Amino acid sequence: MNGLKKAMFVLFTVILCGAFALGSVQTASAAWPDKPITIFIPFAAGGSMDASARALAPAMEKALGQSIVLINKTGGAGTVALGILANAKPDGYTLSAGTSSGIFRIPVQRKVPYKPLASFTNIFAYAAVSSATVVKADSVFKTWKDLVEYARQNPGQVKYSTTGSGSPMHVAMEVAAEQEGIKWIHIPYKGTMPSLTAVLGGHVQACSAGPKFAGMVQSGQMRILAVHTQRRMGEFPNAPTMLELGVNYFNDTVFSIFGPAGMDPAVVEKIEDAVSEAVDSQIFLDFCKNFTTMPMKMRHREYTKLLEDGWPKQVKIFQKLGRIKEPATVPR
Amino acid sequence: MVENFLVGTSIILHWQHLLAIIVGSTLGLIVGTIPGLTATMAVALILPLTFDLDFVTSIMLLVGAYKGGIFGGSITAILLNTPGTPASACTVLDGYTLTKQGKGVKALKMAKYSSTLGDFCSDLVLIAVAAPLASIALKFGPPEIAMLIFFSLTIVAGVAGKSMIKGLVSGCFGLLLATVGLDPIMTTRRLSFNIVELDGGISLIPLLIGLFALSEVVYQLGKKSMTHADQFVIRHSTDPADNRVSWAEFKRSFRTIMRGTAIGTGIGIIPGIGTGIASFMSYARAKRVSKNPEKFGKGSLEGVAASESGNSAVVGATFIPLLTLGIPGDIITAVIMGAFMIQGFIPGPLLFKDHSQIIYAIFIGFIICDIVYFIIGSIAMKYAAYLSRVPRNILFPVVMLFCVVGSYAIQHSMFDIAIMIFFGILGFFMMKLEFATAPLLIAFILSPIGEIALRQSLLMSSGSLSIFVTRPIALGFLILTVVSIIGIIRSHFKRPVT
Amino acid sequence: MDDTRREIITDVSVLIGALIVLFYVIPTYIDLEQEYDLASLSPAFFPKIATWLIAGLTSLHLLIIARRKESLGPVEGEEWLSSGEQWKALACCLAIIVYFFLMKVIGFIASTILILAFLFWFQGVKKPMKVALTSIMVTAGLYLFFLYVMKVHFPKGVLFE
Repeated sequence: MNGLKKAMFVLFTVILCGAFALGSVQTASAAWPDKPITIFIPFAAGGSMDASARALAPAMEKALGQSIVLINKTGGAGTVALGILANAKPDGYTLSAGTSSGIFRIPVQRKVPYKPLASFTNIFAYAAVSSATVVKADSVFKTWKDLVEYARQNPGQVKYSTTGSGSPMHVAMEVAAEQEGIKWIHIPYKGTMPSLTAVLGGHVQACSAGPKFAGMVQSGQMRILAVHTQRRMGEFPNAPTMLELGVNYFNDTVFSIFGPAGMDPAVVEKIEDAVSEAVDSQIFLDFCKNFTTMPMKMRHREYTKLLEDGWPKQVKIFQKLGRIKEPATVPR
Repeated sequence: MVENFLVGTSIILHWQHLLAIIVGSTLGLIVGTIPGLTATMAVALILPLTFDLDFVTSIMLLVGAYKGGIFGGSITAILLNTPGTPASACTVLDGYTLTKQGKGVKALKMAKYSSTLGDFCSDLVLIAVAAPLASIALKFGPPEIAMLIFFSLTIVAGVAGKSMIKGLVSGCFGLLLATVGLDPIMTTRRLSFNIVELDGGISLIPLLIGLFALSEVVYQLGKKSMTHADQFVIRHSTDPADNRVSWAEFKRSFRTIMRGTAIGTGIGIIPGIGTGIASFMSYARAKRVSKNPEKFGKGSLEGVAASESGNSAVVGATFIPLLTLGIPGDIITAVIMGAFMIQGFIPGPLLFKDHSQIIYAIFIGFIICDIVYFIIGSIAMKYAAYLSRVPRNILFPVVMLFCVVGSYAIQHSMFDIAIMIFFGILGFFMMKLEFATAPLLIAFILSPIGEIALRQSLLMSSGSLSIFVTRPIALGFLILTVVSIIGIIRSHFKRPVT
Repeated sequence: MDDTRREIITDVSVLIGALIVLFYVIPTYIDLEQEYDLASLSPAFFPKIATWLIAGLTSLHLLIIARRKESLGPVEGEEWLSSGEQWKALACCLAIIVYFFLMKVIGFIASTILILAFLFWFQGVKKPMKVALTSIMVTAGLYLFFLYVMKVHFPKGVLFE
């Protein structure tokens, strides 16, 4: 018994000393990065956000000379990961991928556990997302106008699916409905694929979908009525944009890297350079091609401005749709 | 078609692809065996490694890991009561009981046979009739899914334990727990007590590990220091009949296996339901029609066969909607779809047209996978049996540790460890107060799918319930549900009510 | 404790829990930001149904138990732990909870070695060397496996960050 106590005591002391020694070695070094960097992925494995981060990582690792640990923290349309990030140390070792929606679209509609415009360092936007309104290939709706006219004559008969309530795809359809003075029924699904499946199965007439619609269109199962991008897409030059069709909306969602607020500017710059280099890498360009997203390079200053300008715009859109009176979250 | 087969075979028989299958299955098996590390994780871990490989190699690696992972979960489920994946949670019910009776090896062998057989048959279905089946799966809209889930909830009765009412209470608690997190339709916060981590809902794997594995560890740790004869947790019976599956036993379970395969395949085709439910459904069905339903839960070989064939048969079938329509059936196939797309192959009808030979190569790879993991599984079981050499007072603390690291590893989250510990202690008290834990798990898995489908249906019909009776498939499931509820009540009144 | 009494106490506590959820937790922790035309579309619909079911079923069970005259009799099948063993199990629960908080403070490696050593000793492994060596080896093996194969980094603890 006595022997055991002694053994436990020795064990404990050895561990503590060892751990302290390790800890002090790590804090002594000043040059960032000197240990692996963790990046949260706020969506489930297999999605386009997940694939984009995994495509960026190899080139970023090369540029930074440290390994990158990617962790999926899913839930709440990306707000769970951001909520955890907001409380992380701004030492540059904890970052998160995320969409601009997590900053200015979702927080407008519901309370989130962070201050959208104050909790983060908006480091770099690396890809612009495409989305479109699609119907089944053999649908009677040949054009956007067909769908709108049908909805006008048969109020409440047109049902469309999206990946979720309050998503840019949902907003696009509601802005259109508001402008045209029509009413169609929104059926939210959990994820883009299930929402596309609903169209294939004939359970809804149209789907307002994120990047994955491209595969369905290329394989001949679906037809695009309108894309939500600002300009026409290279892959589908014949598909009109919503702006051309007179709907004053385009999907401005971007994929980006966030850090906690209060990061060292030198570290931020290093990350900017690394991501920028990674955007040029072959793996990432392949990702963009296969997932129909557009690579882009928007650095910290520019991206922060985009988000800050975006906030009042989003508030106005949602107020006009009658979904909110006041933004649900305080931005700062 | 014959020509495609031949070309496909010649593609797959390349040494690289065979190696990929072996490596994938082995990795999957290892990862799946560790409590809390799931087949999903094995597949997600391997995914980045496939970026530089050629297409068939990378898909074989992933498919191997998928199949191996599902099977690996069953080994520890049977030997240690620690299901590695939701798929093997059902195997625990009879598998672990058999182990306690000294028939662990027998249960493992039965699991191996029924798993491989279920997998193999499901692969054959995939190859033969993928396209027509996929279009049936598309008919499953929200109302059909809602009614299917409603029907699936009746399987709770099959695992309710001694008291039906308490089993149902446990199930309802599962329904309630599943509503924690953001509302799936309106995305408002629900019951998350302003904790950020809870906004994503209670994670399934920590709940599963806590409820099934940690509670058993706590129970075992409580037992008095054992006498020498009781020193080893896994006693193997010395009777050779207890360590093998005889032909007669296999024949007796054959119908169960085939039924499990059919159920698993059916569940697999419909996107979004998953392996865990298939095994429970197959189990409940086997119990209903078995000649010895009273043996279920008390060490029935048939029970193991039903669960294992059910969960394995899902695997091949989930590829049917993926390959024919480009719709992933579950999270693992979603990851594998990512692998397809990263390589520039978009799953869907076009893939069949443009790359039919590669698709057939993959099909034949599936079958080879079955054979490979049968062999690797046999080897792994030999080593797994060495667990019996580890004294109990070393083994259970280490299993506890695996529960902790397994929960942490999913999302690198301390919060998940807390969840796991909470449900471990809850599970311990539920065991004590004789509330069965399986209904809670089943309801927890089914509830979110059912809730979304139900509310989507009501959105579609503007609140009218008629949508569930005017659509033939939905009506069919509704009738099935009513019939099985009546059946359950009738068989219940033959026994004393508790 | 006699079985019927235990059942009644359990049922009553479950019932009280369900009522608390129904009348306090659900109204407080579900934000109802807008009016819903259909009750079934409200986010509170499903949780309410589940809780009502729990309350109903428990009351039913309570009725059946209360009306039954004879005791349930001994538990068939496997025997549950004796009360001494139960305390031992609960002590282990407590140790695991302490382990969780310890991990937050002093990190994975140190806390794991300690909890393993404690549990081994508590379970009757009395040789100090065996306790120390086994716990260190298991911890180290697991740590390295997860770090290099699974790419999982365990928490270092707030003390050492």
